[in-house]
Amino acid sequence: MGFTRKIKPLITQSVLMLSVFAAGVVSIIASRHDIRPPIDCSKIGTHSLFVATFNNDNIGSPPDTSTLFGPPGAELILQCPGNNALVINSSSLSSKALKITRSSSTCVIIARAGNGPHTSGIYYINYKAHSLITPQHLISGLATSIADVDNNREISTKLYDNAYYLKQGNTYTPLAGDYDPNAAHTVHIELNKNTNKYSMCIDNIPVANNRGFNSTTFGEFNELRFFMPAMVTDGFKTEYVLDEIRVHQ
Amino acid sequence: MDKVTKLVTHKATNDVNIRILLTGLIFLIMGSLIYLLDRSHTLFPLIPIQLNFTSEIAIFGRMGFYLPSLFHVVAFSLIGISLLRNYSKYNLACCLFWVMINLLFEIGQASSVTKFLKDHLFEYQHNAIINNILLFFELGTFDWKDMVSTVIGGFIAYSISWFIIVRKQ
Repeated sequence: MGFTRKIKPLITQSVLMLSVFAAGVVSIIASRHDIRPPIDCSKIGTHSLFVATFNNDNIGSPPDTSTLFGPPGAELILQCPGNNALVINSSSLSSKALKITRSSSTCVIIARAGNGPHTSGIYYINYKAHSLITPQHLISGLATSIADVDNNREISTKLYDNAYYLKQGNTYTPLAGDYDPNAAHTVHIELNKNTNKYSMCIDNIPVANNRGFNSTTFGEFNELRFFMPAMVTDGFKTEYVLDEIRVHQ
Repeated sequence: MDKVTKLVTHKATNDVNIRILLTGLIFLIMGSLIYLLDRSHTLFPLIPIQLNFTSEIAIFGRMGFYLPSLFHVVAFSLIGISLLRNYSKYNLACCLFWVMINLLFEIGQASSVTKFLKDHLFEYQHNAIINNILLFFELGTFDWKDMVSTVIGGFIAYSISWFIIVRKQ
């Protein structure tokens, strides 16, 4: 009885102290920023989920998709009939790179991130690109986006008419800055999967900060997609060159 | 100790506990007000949209960047001390404990430390607690002014507790 009387206040006090400790630590963690303002354009993350540099591929051939692109699950998928996606020696990028040419069939290049599932955390998506033939019209421009496992797409951009356009709602709006599409440039995307918000830099200049997705249905982040529309009746030629595609966490 | 002395001592102890607790809660409310009045809910998940009263003018001005570190240490040190039965013996230890906790969370935001932690905790990132701690470090910005605020907060907390205890004795 005496022992219980002595031990009971000690237990009560310990529980209270632990509760205060938990509340204090949780309040510190909960006070975090949701996105670093302003975006750090040079940050690439510490863990590689996908890397494609095309440096070991043969010029004039499609890239070898059987090589290792990262941790288990990392894949480079080419859905390009004919010779619409070939490795070239890019003088603008000073290295081997992947050229995508608009033709009568659509061409899709998928950079799938390994080590999933990717349901939370910060993802850093980087690639270098330039045009050889720059389209003047939205319809013929190469579209870039990220996709989830159900192929819902977000952060959709198009390069045409000497500017990068970002899909906001159902329309493409030009991003700030003046980019010569024929000169090599770097694209950096910082995706916060906890909030489904993203920031973007082109040539280390922030062009979008802490933007929300267009839809609420985007689930587990799965891949970066490059989509070249088929040439139907418009006849506009497009040639786009990609290199150093990287997804990090 | 006779019954009357015991009762008086017990009452005095409770009185001190309540005074320290209330002071701690006042600092906690002041810290919360900075988030509610000066920080946008779009950047801080802590703030529900219904409780976001931000305006164009920052009410706490530039001090609003550093006061939360100070208020957090004061508030939780005092609340901790108020729960101690032997508060006059352990009030300094309690203040130092909360200063240390806050300093560790600040140091964790330094990029080299964040990288080290991320490297070692990466495989546990699907655990919600680990993920949120890593996010705090990754998205936060290390600032030595926060470190100074934390240390000042510890000093203020100790001074307040000392003042209340000595005054009652």
